[in-house]
Amino acid sequence: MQASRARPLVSFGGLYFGLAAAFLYLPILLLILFSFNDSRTLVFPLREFTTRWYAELLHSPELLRSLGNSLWVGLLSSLVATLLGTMAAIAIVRFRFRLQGLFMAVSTIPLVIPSVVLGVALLLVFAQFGVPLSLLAVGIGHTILNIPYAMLIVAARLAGFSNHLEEAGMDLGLTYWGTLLRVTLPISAPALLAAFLSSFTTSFDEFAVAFFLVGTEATLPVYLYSQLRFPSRLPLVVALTALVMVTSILIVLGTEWLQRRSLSTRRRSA
Amino acid sequence: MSQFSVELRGVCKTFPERGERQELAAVQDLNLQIRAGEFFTLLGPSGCGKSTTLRMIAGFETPTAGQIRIQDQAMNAVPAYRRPVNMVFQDYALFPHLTVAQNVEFGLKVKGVPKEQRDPAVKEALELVQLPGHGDRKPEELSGGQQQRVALARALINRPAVLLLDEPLGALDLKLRKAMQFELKQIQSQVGCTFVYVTHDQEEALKMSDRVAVMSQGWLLQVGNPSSIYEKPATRFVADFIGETNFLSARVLKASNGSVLVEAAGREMLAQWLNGHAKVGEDVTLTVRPERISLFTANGGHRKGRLHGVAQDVTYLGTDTLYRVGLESGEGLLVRVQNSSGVPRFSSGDQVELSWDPADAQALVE
Repeated sequence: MQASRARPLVSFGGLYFGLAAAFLYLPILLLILFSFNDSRTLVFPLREFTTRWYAELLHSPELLRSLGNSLWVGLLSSLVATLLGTMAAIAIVRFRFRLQGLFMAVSTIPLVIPSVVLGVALLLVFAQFGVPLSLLAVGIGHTILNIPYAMLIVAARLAGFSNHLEEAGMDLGLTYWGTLLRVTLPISAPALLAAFLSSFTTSFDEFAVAFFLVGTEATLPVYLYSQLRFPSRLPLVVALTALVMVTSILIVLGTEWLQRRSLSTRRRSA
Repeated sequence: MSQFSVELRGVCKTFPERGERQELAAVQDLNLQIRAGEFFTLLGPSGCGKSTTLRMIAGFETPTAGQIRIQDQAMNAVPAYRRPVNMVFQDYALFPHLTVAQNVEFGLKVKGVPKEQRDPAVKEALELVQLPGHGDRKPEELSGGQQQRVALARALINRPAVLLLDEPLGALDLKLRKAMQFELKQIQSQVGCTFVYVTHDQEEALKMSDRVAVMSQGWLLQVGNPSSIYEKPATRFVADFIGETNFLSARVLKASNGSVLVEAAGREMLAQWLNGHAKVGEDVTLTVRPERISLFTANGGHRKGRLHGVAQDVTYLGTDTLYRVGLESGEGLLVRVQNSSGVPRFSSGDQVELSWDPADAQALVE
């Protein structure tokens, strides 16, 4: 009799999922919990509820300054990476040329180079050519880091629609550049935005490359790391990371949503 | 001024094979004259060069050699966006980010036609393809057949000298395809522009075209109206590709200018020369269409001019019955008999006699 066989209360799969989720999200939950805890030491039991760490954040000019730096570096490096990545993607998907395989390999290699290695390597190069350690140097590093991601995201979208669409554009009187602006880029827009957002989040919390290349102006991750030496500042760091994390999750969800939307229009138009 | 809408002179196209030294010849020394206002079909199996030819006329591919002329103008150096042609793609290629109306007006907008003139033109074009009132929809909300109509409207609104259609009905189901074939013909007679149509469906080609060009492996085999392609095929390939046919190996016994006496299936019979002449004693191929063969009940004895055989497979097709008849010589023939009350039916294993008019038997020189 099948019905009499007792089912275990928790299946193996359920247990696995529960444990994995706990390991992943419990620390983040703790982070948010302690960011509202009225104590400078991060131990249980919790004290009273407070928002004063968030309020103190606003009165911490150095911290806000590093936040601003990160936003700027993220914004500009992501724009450049998206632009260059899109150009590379168009070359790879829509054109046939000599040494194409090599080009593809060279442009995706940064994906597997550890960022520490990239950081040291860039430090050497910048020192050789007299480029001062600065936010500009960090921005260049982040651009290099992000080009392959941007390229792959846009390439996937380009490969997803027939180049007949571009031929139709030319057939209806558009030049090559006209077709690029009025057909290719509008149809790829969700992927361009996804590439930009993904690059931005990478740049925003990137530490290894930035650590080697920052000059006097710190980016946010570098600043947070420097603050760990002062235990009294710890709750501030916790509050800020909680904020950053929530923002990051929102951006990632947004990117995901855009990609899904672009995939579903692709499926329907296929 | 020539009367040709499109003219191809010695056009060749070779593609470099990826990773290999040799080149792939897609189109070889193609000469074609397409008249203004005609429905011209490029027909052939996939890979025969028909789509490449169309894409060269559109300007998406550059000929390796030869010249393409449209309305008596050399087009080789003219980019796709300045040619007086428009294309309808098999996958429709509608812009997914635009509405139906925005798709249809695209060409006019690019040309800078003001909105007051575009709007009525879009309305007219959508009425032409029987989609009035669909302008505000997105292409993805329409069915395949409707999307193809939008693609047609988007091309025709530009009033091209030549409309190029690349297997436009290939993605539609049979019933819709037949309806669209009829409709395409009607639209063509309404707008009066030259249609150059690519298909691998010989039935579609015969049904719709004023003239058909049959291609195989990059070569043009024959150009002619549907009846001459069907009844006077220039090569064995054309005879085989267009409709069903039978082939019998034969030897020339006596040859004259018009007809030829051959030995085939163990009998002497008369046939017509089709694509040249052969000498006495040489081998030729005899071809007879299945529907030109008559079947009779075998009643013993050998009647003059009839072959003997056994009905092997019998396939009932509604209007017709298709028999596969095994001959005494060991060869097989397909016979298509129209079903009507006076016609005897045979079943598998029956002895039958076959005959055909010598005018329907054709001798092909290889």
